[in-house]
Amino acid sequence: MALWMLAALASAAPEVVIEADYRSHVDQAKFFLKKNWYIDAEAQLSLAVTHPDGRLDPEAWFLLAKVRYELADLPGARDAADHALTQSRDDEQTRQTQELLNFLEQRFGSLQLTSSRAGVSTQIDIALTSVLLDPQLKSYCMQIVKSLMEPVVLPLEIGLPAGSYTINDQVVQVGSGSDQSVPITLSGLGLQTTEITISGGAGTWMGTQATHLLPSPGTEIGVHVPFGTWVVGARAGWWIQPRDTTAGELHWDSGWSMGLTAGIELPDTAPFVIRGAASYRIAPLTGLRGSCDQAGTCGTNDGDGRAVDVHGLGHIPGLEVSTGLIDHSRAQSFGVGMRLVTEYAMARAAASGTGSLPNGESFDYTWTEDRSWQAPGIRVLLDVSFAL
Amino acid sequence: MKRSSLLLLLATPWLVAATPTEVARLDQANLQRPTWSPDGSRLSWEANFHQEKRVELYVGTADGNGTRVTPSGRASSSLTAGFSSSAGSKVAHELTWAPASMGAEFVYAAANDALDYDLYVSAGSAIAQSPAADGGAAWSPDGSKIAFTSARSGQGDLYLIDVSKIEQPPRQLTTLRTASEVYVAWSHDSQMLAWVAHGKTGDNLWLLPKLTGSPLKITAWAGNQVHPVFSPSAHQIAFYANHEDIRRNDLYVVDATDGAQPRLLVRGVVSDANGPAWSPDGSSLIVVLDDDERFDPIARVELDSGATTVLRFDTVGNGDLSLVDRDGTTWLAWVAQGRTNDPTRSYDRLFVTQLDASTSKK
Repeated sequence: MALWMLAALASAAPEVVIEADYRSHVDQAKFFLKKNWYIDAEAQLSLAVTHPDGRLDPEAWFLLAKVRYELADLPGARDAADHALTQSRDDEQTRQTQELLNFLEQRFGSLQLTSSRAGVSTQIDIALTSVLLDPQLKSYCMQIVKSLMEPVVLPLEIGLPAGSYTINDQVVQVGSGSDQSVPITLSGLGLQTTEITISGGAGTWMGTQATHLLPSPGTEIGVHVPFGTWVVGARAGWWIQPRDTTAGELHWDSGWSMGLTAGIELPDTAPFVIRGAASYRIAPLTGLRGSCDQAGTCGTNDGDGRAVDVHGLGHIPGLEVSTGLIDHSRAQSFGVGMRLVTEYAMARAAASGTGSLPNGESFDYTWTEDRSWQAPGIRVLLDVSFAL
Repeated sequence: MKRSSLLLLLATPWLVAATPTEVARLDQANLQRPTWSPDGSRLSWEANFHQEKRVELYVGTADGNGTRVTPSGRASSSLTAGFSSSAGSKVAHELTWAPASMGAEFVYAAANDALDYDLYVSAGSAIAQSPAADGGAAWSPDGSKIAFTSARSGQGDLYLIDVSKIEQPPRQLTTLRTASEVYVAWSHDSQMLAWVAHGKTGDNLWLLPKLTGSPLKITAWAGNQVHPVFSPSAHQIAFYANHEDIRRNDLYVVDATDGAQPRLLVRGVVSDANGPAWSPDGSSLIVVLDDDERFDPIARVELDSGATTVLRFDTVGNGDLSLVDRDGTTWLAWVAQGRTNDPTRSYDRLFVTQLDASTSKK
């Protein structure tokens, strides 16, 4: 038979996939446990109990409960112990799993550590202030204390042995089987999740006074920190402002802007971040157009005079909505998002100065009439942020 | 009754006491070692199933309602073994109470899966674990320390656990190479320890006046000087000794100072497991007289004079006395084979009674 036919037949044969028996995961876990590699053991046992046969094995769940306890994961240990009890096959297994579950439920209390703003990363300082007579519970307590010395992201659920504690200088009484929420006061100046954002986008001014102004690209860098439920920030940017001259030519100016924002982040939207904020920035605005006579006296009225573009310092309040994707389960993470800003610029042309004629020539002017300039604007920016 | 016994009964001052109440009994088991908690709210006792070589420990109230105490299963189950195949501890005994300020906590010794003995705290896990046998624990009255005997360093040395650092290894207190240190007892101020050094030449009392100091030998007799118990109010130690006659135990008391001479109080007492029971005010001792004709009666011995007064209880075969002051009233717990008019008397049962005001001077 031609080789190609043999190859075709071979490739047509159905693949036989041999799934690892869940007991191999349990055996591997026991090997890891002998070396005190609890994290690896937990991974193997988690695989075992996801197997169709393994999820019915009380010993796999029983071991998983004890390993999770060793890892100071009380909620996970309770869950596994509950499964072990459900799957127990005889009175002795039932007795032992019930005893373990009673221990996990009655010797500990659950605490939900919260902050005023979800996603805040902070150190948790826990000190035991009562006497704990059980060495195993005391070791568990010390393990929890040590694990929380590294910044963690709130909210966070932990289990502590029944007793008295101070948590970030708050006195907390943990009762057997209790379940309570503990708001955490942030240490330091509240600089818990500093967010650095680099943005790029474009905006445009609208209205009769801005018809000659074209969409302007720009870039910003900002820093935001949480204070209570608010997120406040500061930004600095650089913008290019192109404009049409009356001669039909394209000119552009560039300038900086600086501003502040204060906003609120909507809760319970993880992994998305949706934030609304009020902003205020100042920026030298270019292209404030006036009409001047030959003598250099200018005003905003259309006339037969020369059109001249002058500068003015703009005060720009605004409202913005931003949305992004950032992983708050990690103490540090990158995120991306978009921001829509609506603004209203208010500027005054300088009373006198040097403007630009349509042909680009400089022109000394004196502005005698109403020098105010106002225009609504809109900007769309793409944000790349780094939270730490 | 023999005439001599009748005359003896008439000659001995009697005290009217409350009728003892039998509060617990177990078929096939001798109850033993009742021990009051410091505030008298709890009572522990052991049930010794001799045939099965099993000792159960119970903690309950003075009405005999008790719960069996067993070591936590998580202590005996190896992390890698999954479900434990052990049938549970066959021996749990030697309970010592924490002071009342710490609640109803206690420490006891129990056999583990490896068939050696560990100390366990209340409903918790083992403390000061080691591959060798631990036992004979005594909790200091101020609650800060637990002294116990351990074979971890040889034949039985005393160790000290700091309760505030219970997860840390215990500190070795004694290093006698020629003896095992047992029956450790605390002074009322938690400053001193007394114990018995059990050796080939006999059992004798030792004293540690300060936990950081050097031990002193209190007795140097042949025979067995055992079960030291400190006075509740002074640095005095009561103990049993048979150095005069190996067949007879006597009651002695000695000042807890270097060079003090023990003073004989009563000849012929029963050397029971709890040791001499001091009255709450420290002015007398309650002991069991070794008197077969009077069925080992319970008696009060005045500390100063040695005057002995038999307490008229209708129980026989008495032993293992435990006294406590509860709200100004002295309560006595002990075990006995039964009452004088019982048709059958077999296994030891648990009795309690409130001592008459005239027997509990303050």
